[in-house]
Amino acid sequence: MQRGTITRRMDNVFDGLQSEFRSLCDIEDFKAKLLALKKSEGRSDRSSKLRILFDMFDACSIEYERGKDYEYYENLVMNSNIPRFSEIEDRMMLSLYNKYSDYPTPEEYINRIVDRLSCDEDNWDSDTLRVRILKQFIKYGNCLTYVASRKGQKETINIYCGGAYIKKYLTQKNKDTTVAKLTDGLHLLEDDIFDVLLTATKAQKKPNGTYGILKMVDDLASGKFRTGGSTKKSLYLFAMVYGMTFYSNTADIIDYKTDIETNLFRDYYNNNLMRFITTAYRGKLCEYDLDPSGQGINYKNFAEMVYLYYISKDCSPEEKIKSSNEMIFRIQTESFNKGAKNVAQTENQTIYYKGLVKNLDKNIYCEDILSKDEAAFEEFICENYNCDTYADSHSVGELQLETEQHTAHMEYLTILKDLIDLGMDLSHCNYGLWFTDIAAFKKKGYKSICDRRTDIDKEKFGEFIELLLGINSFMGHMVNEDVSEKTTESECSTPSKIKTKALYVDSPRDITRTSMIVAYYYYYNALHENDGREKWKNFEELFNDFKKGIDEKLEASYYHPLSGKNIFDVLVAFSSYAYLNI
Amino acid sequence: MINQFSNAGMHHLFNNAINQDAISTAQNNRYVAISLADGVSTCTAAQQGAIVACNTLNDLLINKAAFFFQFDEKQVAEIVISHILYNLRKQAAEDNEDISEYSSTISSVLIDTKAKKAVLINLGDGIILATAKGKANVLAMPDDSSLGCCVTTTMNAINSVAIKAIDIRMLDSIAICSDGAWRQMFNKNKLKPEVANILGNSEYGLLSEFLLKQKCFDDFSFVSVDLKEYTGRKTA
Repeated sequence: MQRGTITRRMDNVFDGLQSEFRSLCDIEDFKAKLLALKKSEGRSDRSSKLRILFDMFDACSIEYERGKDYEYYENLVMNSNIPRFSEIEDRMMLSLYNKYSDYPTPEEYINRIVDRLSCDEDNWDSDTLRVRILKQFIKYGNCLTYVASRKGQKETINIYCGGAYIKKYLTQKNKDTTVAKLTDGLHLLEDDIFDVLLTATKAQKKPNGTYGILKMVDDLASGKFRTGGSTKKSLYLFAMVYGMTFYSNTADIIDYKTDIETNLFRDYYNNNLMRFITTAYRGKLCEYDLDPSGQGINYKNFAEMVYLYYISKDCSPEEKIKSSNEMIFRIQTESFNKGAKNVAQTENQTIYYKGLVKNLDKNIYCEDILSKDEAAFEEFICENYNCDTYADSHSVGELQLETEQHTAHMEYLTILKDLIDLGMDLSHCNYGLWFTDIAAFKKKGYKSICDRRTDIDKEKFGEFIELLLGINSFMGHMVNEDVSEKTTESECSTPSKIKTKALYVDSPRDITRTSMIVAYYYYYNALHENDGREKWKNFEELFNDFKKGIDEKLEASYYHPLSGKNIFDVLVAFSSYAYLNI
Repeated sequence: MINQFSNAGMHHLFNNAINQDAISTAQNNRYVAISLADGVSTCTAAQQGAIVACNTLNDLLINKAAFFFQFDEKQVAEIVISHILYNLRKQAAEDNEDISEYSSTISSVLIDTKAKKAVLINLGDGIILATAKGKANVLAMPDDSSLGCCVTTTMNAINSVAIKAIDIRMLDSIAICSDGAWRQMFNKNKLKPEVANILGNSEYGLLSEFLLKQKCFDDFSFVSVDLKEYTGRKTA
C-alpha cells in the first residue's frame, strides 16, 4: 500500500519544521521553565517540570547531568550560549525558507488528481497538464456540449464554448482535412492550442466566448481561482469527467482517491497561499479570488446540491453533465415563472442543509436526499432551497445564491468581541506578520540575510519574500508602507491607523476562514501578551495551544481545522510566537 | 446464526503462502462475539499475529461482555489494545521474534441479545456493515490505507481504534469484512448493486459465491451474525 506522495511530503515538511522549531528556544523560554521548576520544589510535579527542561536541553544540544539541584540547572542556562530572540529570528526565517518550497501549489494538487484518476488506456501521460484535462473534457464530457429539448425544440447547449475553435485547430493539425469528431483528433491536440489565450479578448475568454473551455481548463490546471462561482462550477464539471465521488456517510465509504471534498475542496480549492508565487498569480493579484471562503461545498446552494446529486449517481460523465445542467435550468425557470418560494430559512441553517446530504449524526437508519429518484429530488430542491436567481430584478449566477455563512460570521464576531473586551482597538491591530519586517524587505530588499549567508539563492529567497508579502497582506498591511527613516526613538509614538481588512468583515457573505484566523491571531496575541514568564510557551506548545483555541471556532463554522499542511496556518502561529516572544 | 467465510487471495496462492485472515466467534446464553483480523502481508508472522489478536479479543469480549457496555470509548480502546499487545508480546517472546512481525488489523462486534445492543470495535482497514429494511449501511469505516493504516502494533494504536455502541432492534444482520473482501464488494465508494441486493436480503451464502467469482488479489473473508432471531424481525 502506497502512501500519497504529497501527503507524505507534507508530513515531512511539517515534522521537519516542528523539530526545527523545537530547537528554537531562546533564553526567555529557558527562564520560564526554570521558574516553573523552582516553584515545583518539594512538589510532586517537579519531575515533569524537569523533563520539560531536559527536553529543551536536548533540543538545543546542551549537555547536562540529571539528578542535580535547581542552582545547577540555573547556572547551566546562564552559562550556556543560548541565543536571544533577535538572534534566532534569522534561524526562524531560514527554517521557513528552507522548507517553504516543499509546500505544494494548487497546480501540484490538481496534477496529482489527474495522475490518479486518468484512465491508463488513454496514455496521455506525456501531455501537459492542461492538455490532459482538456482531452478528458472532450472525451468523457463531450466537450461540455449536449443536445436538449427546450420549449419543444432541440437545442445545442454549450456549457462552455470552444468546440468550434478546437475543431478548427484539429483540422489545421490534420493537414486541413476536417476531423469528423473531436474525439477522433485527440492525438493531434498539443499545448499550443492554448496560445490563443495570450491574445484573446476578455469576451473571448468568457464561458460563452470562443475560447471559453480553453480558459476554464487553463485556470483549473494552473490553480487560478475566479470569483462569482465560476471556479466552483468548473470543479464540479471536473469531478464529473474524472469520476469523483461524494461521501454521504450512509451506505457508502470515503474513497480517498476520488472523494471530491478531500481532494478538490480541501487540498486544491482552499486558501493555499503558495499560489502567490506561481507565475499565474504574479503581478495579477487583482484578477483573482484571493481569499476563497474556505467553506468548500456550500450545502445551502441548490445548484451545488444538484451537482452532488449527479456526482453520486451511477451514470456516465456525459449524462451527469447534461442532467445536472438541465435540472438546474428547469429549477431556475420554474422559480422565475412561479416567483420565489417563501423558503423558511433561519440564519443558522447550514447544519440543517448539510444534514440533508450528509448523515451528520451517524444515524444508521438515515436516508439522505441524494438517494431520492430524480423527480422527487427536484421537487425537494424546489420546495426547500432558495432557487431564485432572478430576485430583485437582477439575475445572479446559480452558484452565487446563499453564499452567506451566518454561523461562521457569528463565530467571527465573537472573536472580535473578545478582542475588544481585552481593551484592544481594532484599528491598532494591523501589525501583520511579526517575526520579520516585511515592509522593510519590500523596500530595501533582503540584503541583510543574503549578505550574511552567501549560500542562499537570491532569486529563490525573493520568491519566499513574495509569499510572505502575500500572507502579510491578509494579516494587516493594506497599503504599501514606506520604511521610516526615523530611529526607533524618534518614530511617531501614536499607533498606525491602517485598518486590517480581515477585522472589518461586515457581512456573512464575505466571511472567510482566513479572516477568522487573522482575527483570532490578534485576539490570541492580546490575550497572552501579559502572561509573564510563568505561562511562557515554546513554539510547539504555542502552536498546539493556538490550534486548540481556533479549531473550536473553525469547526463550528464548518471550516477545516488549523493544519500544518497549510503554510498560512503555520506562519500565523509562528508569527504569534514571535509576537509574544519579543 | 453466524456465517463465516475465508479464502486466500491470488497473491498468496501464487506464492504458496497461507491465508493471513483469521476469524473467531463465540456465544453464550446472552452475548455473541465475532472478530476478524487481517495479518499484514509483509510481516513474517502475519498469520499467527492475526490469530492471536482475533482470539484474544474475542475471548475477552465474551468473557467480560457486560463491562464493554459500561465502559466509555477510551476505556474500551485501552483495554482492547493492552490485552492484544500483552498476548502478542508473549507470543513474540516465545518465538524470539520482534512484536512488529505479528501486526494485523482487528474488527469485532459484541452483541447483547437481551438488551438488543452491540459494541463495535474497528482498528485498520476492515469494515463493519449492517443490514436493515432491505438495505445495507456502513457502521464502521475502513481506515485510509493509502496513508498506511493503523494496526495492532502501531504506536498509540489506542487513539485510532473506532468504538461505537449501537441499538440493534431495527437491524437484520451485522457483518465484518476484510479489505480483500470489501474492495470487491464496492465500486469506488458505493456497494455494487448485486452486493447491495445480497446484503439487503442478508444472504451471506450468496456473498461467499460472489466473492469466489471475483479475482481477489488479497485474502478475502467475512463473518456475519443474523440478528433476526434475537430481534424478532422478519426478513425484508
